[in-house]
Amino acid sequence: MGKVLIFGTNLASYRAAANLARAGHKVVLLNRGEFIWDKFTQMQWQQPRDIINGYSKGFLKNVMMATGNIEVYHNSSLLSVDGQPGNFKVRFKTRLPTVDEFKCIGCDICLEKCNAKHMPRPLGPGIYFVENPEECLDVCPVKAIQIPKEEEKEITVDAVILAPEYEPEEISKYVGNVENVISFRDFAFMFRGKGVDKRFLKRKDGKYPHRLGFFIPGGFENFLGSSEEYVIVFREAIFMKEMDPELEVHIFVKELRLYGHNQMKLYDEAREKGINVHIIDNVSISEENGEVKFNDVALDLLVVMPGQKVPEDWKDIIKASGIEEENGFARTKPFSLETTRDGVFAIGEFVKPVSSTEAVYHGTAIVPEVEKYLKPPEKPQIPNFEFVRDDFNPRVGLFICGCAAKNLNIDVDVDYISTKDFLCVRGEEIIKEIKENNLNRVVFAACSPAVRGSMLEMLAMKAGIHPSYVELVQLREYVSRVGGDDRKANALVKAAIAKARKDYFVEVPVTATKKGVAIIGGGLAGLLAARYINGRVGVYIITDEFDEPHDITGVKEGTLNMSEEELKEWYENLKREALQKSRHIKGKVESIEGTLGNFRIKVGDEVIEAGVIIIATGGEITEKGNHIAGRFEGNTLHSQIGSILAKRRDKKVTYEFMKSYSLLDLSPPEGERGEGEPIGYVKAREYNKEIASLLGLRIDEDGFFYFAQEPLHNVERMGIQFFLAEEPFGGVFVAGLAHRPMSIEEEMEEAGFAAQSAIFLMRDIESPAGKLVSTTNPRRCAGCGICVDACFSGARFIDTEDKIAKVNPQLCLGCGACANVCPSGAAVLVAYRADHMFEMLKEVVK
Amino acid sequence: MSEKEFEPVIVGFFCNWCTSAAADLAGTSRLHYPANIRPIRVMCSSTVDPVYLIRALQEGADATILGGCHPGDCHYISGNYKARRRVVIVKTVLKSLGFDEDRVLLEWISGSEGPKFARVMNEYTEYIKKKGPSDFKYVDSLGGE
Repeated sequence: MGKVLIFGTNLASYRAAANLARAGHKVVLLNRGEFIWDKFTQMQWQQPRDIINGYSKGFLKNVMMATGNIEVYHNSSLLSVDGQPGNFKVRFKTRLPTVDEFKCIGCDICLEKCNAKHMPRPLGPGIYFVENPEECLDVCPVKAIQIPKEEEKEITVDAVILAPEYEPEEISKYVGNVENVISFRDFAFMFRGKGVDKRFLKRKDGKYPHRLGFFIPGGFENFLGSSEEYVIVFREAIFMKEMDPELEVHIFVKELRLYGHNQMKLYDEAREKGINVHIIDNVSISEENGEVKFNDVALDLLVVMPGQKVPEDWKDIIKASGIEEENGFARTKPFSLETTRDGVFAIGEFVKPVSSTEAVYHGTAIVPEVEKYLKPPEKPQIPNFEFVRDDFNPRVGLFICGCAAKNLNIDVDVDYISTKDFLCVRGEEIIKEIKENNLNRVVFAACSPAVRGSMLEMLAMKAGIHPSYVELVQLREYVSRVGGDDRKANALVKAAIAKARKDYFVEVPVTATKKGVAIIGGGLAGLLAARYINGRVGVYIITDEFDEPHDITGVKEGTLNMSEEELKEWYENLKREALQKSRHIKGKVESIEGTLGNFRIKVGDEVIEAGVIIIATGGEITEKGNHIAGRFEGNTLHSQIGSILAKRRDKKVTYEFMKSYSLLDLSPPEGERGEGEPIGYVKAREYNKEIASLLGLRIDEDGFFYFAQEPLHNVERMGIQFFLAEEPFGGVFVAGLAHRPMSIEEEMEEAGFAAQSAIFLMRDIESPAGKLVSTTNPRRCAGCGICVDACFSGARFIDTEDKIAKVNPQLCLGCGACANVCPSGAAVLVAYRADHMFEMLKEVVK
Repeated sequence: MSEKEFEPVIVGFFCNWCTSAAADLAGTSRLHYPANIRPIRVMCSSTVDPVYLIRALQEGADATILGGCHPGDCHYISGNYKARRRVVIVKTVLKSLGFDEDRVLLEWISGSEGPKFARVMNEYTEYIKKKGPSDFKYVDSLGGE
């Protein structure tokens, strides 16, 4: 087990902390604010309405509670990092917040008895501040109130990860001080929490803007920016047009950085919807008679999406951690997240301007990178519970939390009823009462599951009640806090009791996962993934030949200025290391059977058994084409590769859609608009089609794979991978040029993500599905296959022998779509059967 | 009944990932909305069988509301699109049978939209109050109850 210090809480940091903790390492997280989220991540600045913001924090909290491996220090600043990898002495300053947000249950007692304030936040009790903590220590039932004291600490860790947060540029720097010009964040806040609606779109003077403009300054005059700004602005512009088709919407950009997979579709969609996209070279913004004049377009309101700035305090971080800088960012070793100082890593927006997807990749790929300095983790202890099983004689116990049922009068008919002031601190009593009264069903009438749900479920498990026999009623958030009355409270509690009586025991089946990763194709990303896995599980690389390294290297100095020889040497090293610990199998894939955990891949005479497949078929870099950027017939070329090549080969480029990218913004290649000589573009392999049909995956019109279950609507926007990464992806990952044109730097990120996710999927624990798995009633199933089509995660299949639908519980995520479409009522989501629902409905309408 | 103001019962099927989270946030933010809403948490809006919506009306609810994630944000990728199609069908069926199709409402409310949740609940309850009790539940009582 190793110990890692993570400084800062950007989007990549949340992910890294959780991933390292789940891999069994100890994590010390230094948070720079009073609470987690106090310092905004890139996503919170750029798109405060996106759901990912809620998930990032909730996710960290869940992992923290489940593993106990994360330690958080608030209000901290880094003082120094001394020593060597495996033995770093890190000194930092920290101050306790007045309320420990991880202990707080949101009971509001401090609001009544102390001088306290509350700030609501999604997925949790919200944040509390106590002005007079000294006098309030005994007020809090869970002892979450603490006295803030500045202190200096020194700890010893094996490795250090730096992940300080993003800051946006002031918009006045781009546009000066003009009336009716606002930043994107202020614009997004108009709708925040309230929904996109015409009523909320207003100028400062209260008028509705009939002409709305969006301006992205990234790319003009060395302003830094990532692709994220473009994705968010295009998506938002489309929302605006959908909200009010009469609205005149303009977008002003210098270039289109929609280089993620299928993101150019956003541009097409915007134009189809009648949004005016202006690709311009010069900007003049002025004010005339209460309207904004952007070049010669008159607007009522202009929204500016600022790019990234390099915050002043990054200098101190760079100094304290003893690393080198590059244009204000952390300098890293070529194709690595490690800084030039061994054992000190940088992730997220501290490396270069990144999109949220890239940040999520960083947070995952960092695990194998850091692990070379860490001792292997101990095997986790899986607690062994014995459960009562009785589907026919329900004895339901109702436990009401006094904090949730404030002023409510619950009067129900049930086998056992107990009201306690704070359920979550009275665990022992609850377990005793459950056992003494021979209960086999438990209903907790308490607060939101985001606060104490998993903890109450754990209590029941300790008392021998299986989670499938536990129901939770959110009395506090659904009734007492929102002006609910006794009638509503009783209806909800009665419904839960009715459901509990109908509950039946659901055994969570565990399918054995074959420990092995099959990498299909000889792309660079495959070798990178093999090296990341490093022999921890068996690796099979199935390909006839390996791609030569292409020279779309990356935007960081160390990679961009790498010579051909250095690149070749790096590649040879990579290939040697990757092949040392994996098996190279020559041949083409003939057939693939099975699903996640049990793939059987036939190559020639051999059948390879693997749990996870990584597709890395690579791509061809050709010099034939009409244009280096944007799109031309039959190819969605992107773009950033043109600028990297131009820079590397010192060529002057012509561009239509784009010329620079990420750190290249600071010294873009020389260029002008118009037709030009081709420099290079990526062509997808024909082989992709074969693999896609074998695995039932989708490929886009240019031949690139969709990443797992990308929905049709440009999923790669935003960090949707953030929560998709929690799901098994069907056990198939796509990395590198098989996915989209990208630089080696990006291939490294994507390969690391695939490798670490593969290892995570092969850990020794039960299926993630839990009680929400779906099953088939064999007596009713006709084998029609409708449920197979309805299942988005590929968990359902028609058994070839029995000719009925079966479920792979490792893939099932419990959405219940199959139960809904099944014409014969054979497919059921076990915790939400129709009779459950009917019983609940009967009670709930009373 | 005649003197007292009509208090409808509205059954809400809220998806676990978005609308339930929004209901939670409305609770944490202490945003009051009418107690007529009876929330039922479901995993995904696509879990809600059209039968559940109709059964709720039949059991005596005056209206039902189905809450899911915004299009493109579904945790299960496409569940909310499925729900949208089903609600259209339910509405069509209700209308062709001579019932009021406005008693089934589909709303997209994301996890951070606590205020929107409260607003929608307020507006819809007001609307149903104006409409009066549902005539759907009497269909059952014609049978003898």
